Amino acid sequence: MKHIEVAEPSSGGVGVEDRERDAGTSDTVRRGGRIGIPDAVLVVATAVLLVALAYSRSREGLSFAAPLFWTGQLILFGFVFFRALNPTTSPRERTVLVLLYACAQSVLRWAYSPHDFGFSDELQHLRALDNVLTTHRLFSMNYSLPVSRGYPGLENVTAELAQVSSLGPFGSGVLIASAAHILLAGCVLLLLHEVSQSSRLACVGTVLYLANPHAAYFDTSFIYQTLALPFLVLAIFLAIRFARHEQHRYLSFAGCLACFAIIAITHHVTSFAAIGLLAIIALGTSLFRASRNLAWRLALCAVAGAAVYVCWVLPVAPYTFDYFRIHTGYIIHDLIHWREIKLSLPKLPPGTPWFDRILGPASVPLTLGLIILSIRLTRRRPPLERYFIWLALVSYAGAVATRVIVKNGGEFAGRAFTFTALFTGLAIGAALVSLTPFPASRHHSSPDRPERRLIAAMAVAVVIFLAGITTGVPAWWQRLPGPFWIDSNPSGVDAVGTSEAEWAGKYLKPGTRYFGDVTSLTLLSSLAELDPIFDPKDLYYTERFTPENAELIRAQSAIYVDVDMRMSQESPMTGAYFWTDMGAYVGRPPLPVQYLVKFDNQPGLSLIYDSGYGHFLDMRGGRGSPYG
Amino acid sequence: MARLRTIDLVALAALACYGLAVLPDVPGAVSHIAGSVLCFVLAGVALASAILPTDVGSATRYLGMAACSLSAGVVGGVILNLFPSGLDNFAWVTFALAATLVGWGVVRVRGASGPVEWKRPASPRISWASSAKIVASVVILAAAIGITLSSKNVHEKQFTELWLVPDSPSNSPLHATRAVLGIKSHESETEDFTIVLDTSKQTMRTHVTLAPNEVWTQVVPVDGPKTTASVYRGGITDQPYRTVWINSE
Repeated sequence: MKHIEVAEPSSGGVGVEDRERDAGTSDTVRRGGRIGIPDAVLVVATAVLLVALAYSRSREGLSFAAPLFWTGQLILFGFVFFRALNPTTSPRERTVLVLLYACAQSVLRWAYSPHDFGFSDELQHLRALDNVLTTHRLFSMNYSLPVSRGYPGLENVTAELAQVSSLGPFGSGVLIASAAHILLAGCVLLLLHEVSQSSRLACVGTVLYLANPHAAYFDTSFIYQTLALPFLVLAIFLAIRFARHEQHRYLSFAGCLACFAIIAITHHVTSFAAIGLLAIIALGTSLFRASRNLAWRLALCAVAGAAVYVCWVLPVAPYTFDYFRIHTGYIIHDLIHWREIKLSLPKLPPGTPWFDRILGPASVPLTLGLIILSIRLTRRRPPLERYFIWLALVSYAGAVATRVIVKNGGEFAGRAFTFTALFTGLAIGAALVSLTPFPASRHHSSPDRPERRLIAAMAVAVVIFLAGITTGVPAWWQRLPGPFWIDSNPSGVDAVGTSEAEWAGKYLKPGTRYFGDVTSLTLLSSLAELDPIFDPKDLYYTERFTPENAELIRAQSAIYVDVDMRMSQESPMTGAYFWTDMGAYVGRPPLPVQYLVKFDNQPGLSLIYDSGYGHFLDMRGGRGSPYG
Repeated sequence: MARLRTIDLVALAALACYGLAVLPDVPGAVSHIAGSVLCFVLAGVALASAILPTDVGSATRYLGMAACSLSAGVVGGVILNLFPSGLDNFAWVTFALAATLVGWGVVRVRGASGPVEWKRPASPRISWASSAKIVASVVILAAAIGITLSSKNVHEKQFTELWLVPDSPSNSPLHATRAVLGIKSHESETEDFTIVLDTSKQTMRTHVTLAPNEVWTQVVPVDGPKTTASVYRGGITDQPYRTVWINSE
């Protein structure tokens, strides 16, 4: 089998020659390699076809969608990981495999919703993009995600593509998100290679990173974090190069600052994460004698990054500090008062498959065990790699603790895994790579069977990959697209809600305040520029329209109430119909219909829109209305 | 005569693309392609050449190009927002040309100490079997895209929207004198509808036939305390299919 030359071995980056344990790769490849890049492309394309077919069959209500989905996903991850871990694979092929895997994730993310954005976060950014395309200006008000107006990086580059090409907002958004995701894979590869000095470990670690719960869907979506993430990784990579290498030292520092600037313009959470991660790495390296010389330069990068962020946020988005204060306040409060909190695993919706019930919890001890194993196995590794592995333990344990202790910790932990996976990917990869050494020194009579070790490592990786799918988004009931699930994200978005939002966008005044359910808040605020009210209190929980209802409407200056009549027919899988839902619990029954029709029966209100499912009422009117 | 380097060709290509992107008589497709190549390829190549060390590997070089290309868009938007024209097609291609020429200049200046050469990778030796696999992969990927684009969501509901929106700047029903009455069909096939408008003072009937996704609207008078519009599928039956109303007093 001949290999296609796709990248030359080089001295400074991903293609760099690995140190001694990778040194025998090329010879080994010549002797034992039977699979090349064309085979990899063929297998990955086939896996993509299977998953795309699964999505298509699910949309069309046909059978075998789930088996096709799992088969395709297992082939995709299994093949890429096996080839990346296999000692006989060349460094160049590994690099191509990792990038192919990221490409496949991007294609599959598009195949999930191929015609329009349906994920609420994407719709929020679509609003921001439409604002730029319409006004040719930045920083317009975005009612669906107010904090985002000070972070226009994603909208800038997407508007650039939309305006210079004939692609529309959707096509441009998908392409930019895909490019950013593939760039992320490349940047993680660079970082892990810099830390471990091994292309094999870097590739294995990157594939494991791409198996984290948010990588395949959330971090591949048209959202600002998707674009900011590669620059976070690049900033850390350049900071480490600045600290470690004399050569091009100040170029690395300048590059690091440039990355911080890009992140600052693009996403606030990633900015904080980048500064925080660099600070933690600097602190940690100061504790190890072997890496102490790196600490002050890493700290300098963290401080400079913070200065860059402050230079952006103070004049452009000062309100971000309030945003952080509120959210971190909840986390810190719950962590401090953790003894008062009833620790419990999140309640799963009825009908959750055993597979989804078991894999998430099972992956926690498995991951912790692998990290601890990697700490033991990698005592002789470079100090920075060892420190990254220790960081994996601390950060992963912290994320899991947040998941269990903090209210709504699932979302915080899910977001955190995107960043902790940089360390856990390396740690788990180090353990698995250590378990599957190069066979060069093995004599044919040796009882050691590296193939068995390889299979065992594969099995462990597949469990972690499957756990990533089952704990990630979309949740199990919407893993395959098509069926409608009320107030789920993204399967709560259908033609009924979208068409209503388009109608509102055409006929109603932007900025008008309204009440609605979870999906209504997303659709009407993003597509119609209405101003959502997140806490309806008992507005949808009374049999008759009460004076308290009217008072709430007046107090919130609400003009419209959106009522999805399907709330009286279907239960929400998440347990909540509303953003702040006083009646939320998993497994709840639908709302009694009288809670919803009371608006139609109330004198003075105007029912200005009726789709059979959606009722849209104007609260302004004569006697009987809140403003009467 | 100075030796022509790859980066010089990048600068020349950028000038050519700029011309194609902004000249009025160039066909739209050519203009769009030229603009996209300038903004997302040439600017990235030039900026990466300007800032990357000369001894990086090809994979790092391509990553640098992609990162520079995206970064140029992120920063470019902020810069263009300072200009009166804001973010539009002309501004973007002009910015990309400027970025490319700045990158070219930096590379040329750096050339004295260490030129950045964009070496062509060695020609791949591709066997017929490898070629067949690559072709098969492209066909399979095309099939995946085709299947995805052609699939219809059978779970989508069929329904019809009816609305009656006061026709004033604030859309307030209070003291409204006119309203927009509209209907949009999302049914599976062409349907006949009967619309009945009751303004408390007069009643009007209209028959409309709508294909799927077709919209019918009309401005109607609001001259009573309550104006109600009902739509019936086909002829008038006991139960209207949809009903809307506005209370204007």
